Amino acid sequence: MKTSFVIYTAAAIGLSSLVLAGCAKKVTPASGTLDIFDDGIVEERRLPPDSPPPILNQAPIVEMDLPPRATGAGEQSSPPTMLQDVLFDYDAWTIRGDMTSVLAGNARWMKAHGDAKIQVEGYCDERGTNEYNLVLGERRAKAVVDFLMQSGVSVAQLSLISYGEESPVCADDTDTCHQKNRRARFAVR
Amino acid sequence: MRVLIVIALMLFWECGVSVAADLFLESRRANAEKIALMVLPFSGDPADAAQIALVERTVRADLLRSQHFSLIDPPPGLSRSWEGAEDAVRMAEASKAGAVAVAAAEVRKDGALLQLLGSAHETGKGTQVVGVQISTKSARGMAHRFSDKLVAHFTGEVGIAQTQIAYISDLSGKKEIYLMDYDGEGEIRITSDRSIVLSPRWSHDAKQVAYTSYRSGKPDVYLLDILHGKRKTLLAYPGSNFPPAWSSSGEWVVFSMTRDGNAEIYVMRPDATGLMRLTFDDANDLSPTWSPDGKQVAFTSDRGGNPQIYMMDSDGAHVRRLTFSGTYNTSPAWSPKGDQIAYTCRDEQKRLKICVMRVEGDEVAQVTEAGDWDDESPSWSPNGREILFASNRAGKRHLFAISADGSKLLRLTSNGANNTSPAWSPH
Repeated sequence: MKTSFVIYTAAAIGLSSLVLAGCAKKVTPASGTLDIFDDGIVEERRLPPDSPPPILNQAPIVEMDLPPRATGAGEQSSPPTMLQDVLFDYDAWTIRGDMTSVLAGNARWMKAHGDAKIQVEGYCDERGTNEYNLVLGERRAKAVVDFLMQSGVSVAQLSLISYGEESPVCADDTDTCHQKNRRARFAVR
Repeated sequence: MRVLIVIALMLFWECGVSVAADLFLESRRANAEKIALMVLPFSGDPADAAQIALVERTVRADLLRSQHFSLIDPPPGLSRSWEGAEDAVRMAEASKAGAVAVAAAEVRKDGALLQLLGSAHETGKGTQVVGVQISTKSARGMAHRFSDKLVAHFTGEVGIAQTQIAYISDLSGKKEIYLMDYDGEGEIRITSDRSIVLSPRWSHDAKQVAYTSYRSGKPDVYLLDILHGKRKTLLAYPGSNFPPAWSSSGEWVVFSMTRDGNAEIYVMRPDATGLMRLTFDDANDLSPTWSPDGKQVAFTSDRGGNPQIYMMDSDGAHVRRLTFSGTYNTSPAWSPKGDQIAYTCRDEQKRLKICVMRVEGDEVAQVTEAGDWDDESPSWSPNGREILFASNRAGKRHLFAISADGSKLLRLTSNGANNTSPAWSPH
C-alpha cells in the first residue's frame, strides 16, 4: 500500500470541517489536495510543514467552555474539542510522520491553555483480541503523551486511558473504518 | 408403589455404576467407537406433552453433543412404561436394532415441580444400570441432569450438560455480562454497569465471575458472586487491570495489569493477598492461562516484536516461546486435559481463526475454517471436546462451539445483539 501524499492547501473553508471531523470524515478533494491511499480511500490529511496549525486560525479561541467529560467513550456525539485525533497504523503505536503536525498543533493549544486537563484516550480497530487491543490502545495513548511532553506540554495537564477496541467511531469491517478507529482522542476536562 | 420403584432404581444405580462404566470405557478405548444408545420416547401425562417433548429433545441433543453416543431410533411402538413387565422383550428388540443400551424417562408434575424418573438398561443382559429421580422447576435443567448421569455412567467422564457460558452482550444497548446454559438457552444478564465490560472469567468453583469494567471510569477488575449477585472490587491498580485465571485448585489466580508501565503478569491469592510479579520486560505480557496441574502458565507476549504465545513455570522461570508461524497469535487457553493449547491465530488472509497446538508448540492445527470473517477468544469445554469462540461470520458477533477436531460447529446465540468474549464454566 502506497501513501501518495498530496497536500491539503485549502484554507479557511477546509479548516473548520477538518477540525470538526477529527479523523472521521471522508473529505472530497475540491481545489485542495488530499492524502489518498491507492485503493481510493481518503485516509489522511497533512498540512504543509510551515503552515500554522488549524486551531490557531480559529478565532476567537476564548469561547472554550467545554462540557465536563468524565470519560470520552460513548460520547462521540458530544461537541468536539479543538484537539484533533491522531491516527495509527495497524498493530502499531509509533507516531506516524503525517501525524506529527497534528500533534504539534495539539501541543501548542495545550501549552496555550495551561489550566486545561487533557486525557489522552487510546483506541484500536476491532480486529485483534480485546485484551491485546487494550494494551495496544494504552501504548498509543502513551506514545502521544510522550510526544506532547517532549513538545513542552506539562505532565500535570496530561493523563491517559485505553479503551482498546471499545467505543469505535464506526462499525464496518472495512479499511476506511478500521483506520478511523485506530486513533488517540483528546478529552478536555 | 412408585416410591418403592424409585428407591429400587436408586439402589440399582448406586451399585451398578462402576462395573459397567469400566466395561464401556474399555470398549471406547479400543476404537473410540460411539455407544449405540436407543432413547425410547419419554412418557408421562398427555396433558404435559409439550414439556415431555422438550425434555426428550434436550436429552437427545445433550447426548449427541457429548460425542460419546450414536442414537438408535426406536422401532415403532416401542416405549417404556414403569411397570417393567415387558422389559426383556424390549431389550431384545432394542438389541436387534443395534443398541447396546436403552434410556427412557417418565416426566410428570410433582406439585409445583417437575419430576423425571429416568433409567438406562444394557440390552445384552437386560440389566438396569442407571436409575434416577430428579425433581426440579426447570424442564431443561432436569434434562441436562439426566444427560450428565448417562454420560457419567457410560463413559466415566463428567458431563458438560449442566455447565454455563459467561459472555458479553450489547443486548441492552450497553455491554454487560450475561450467562447462558451450554446449549445457548436461558440467557440472563448479570451486570448492570452501563459502562464497558471486558473478558469475563470463571472462578475454579464456577461460583464467581471476574471481569473488567469501566464503571469507575477506568478498567478495573470486579468479582461477581453469581448466586447472590454481590460485587466487589478485586483489582484497581493504576492503568489497565485484566481479570484473572484461577488455578484448578483455586489456590492462586494469575492475571495481567499495566501498573508497572506496561502489561506484566502477576499471581496472587484469590483474596488479593500475596501479590507476586512473574514477568519483567518492556514488552506487553498478558492473557495468562494455567496448565491444569498449576505448574505452568501460557501467555501472550509481544517481546519478539509481535504477539506470540509463550510459556513459563508458575514462578516466572523458564520462559520459552511456543508459536513461530504467523505474526499474530494471542489469547491462549490451556486444554482441560493439559495436552493442548487453543489460541487466536491469524491466517494468510489476515483473518483471525482459532488454532490449537500441542503444549510443546508443535502439531499446530487451524480449527475454524478459512473465510472472510474473524474468529476469536477460544475457551475450552470442561471435557476438552469443544472450543467456544466468538465470530462475526454471521454478520454480527455471535458465539459458536466447535468440536476440538473441527468437525462439528454449533451456533449458540441468535439474540440479534453482538455477543463476545465467551468463557465456559468449569464443572
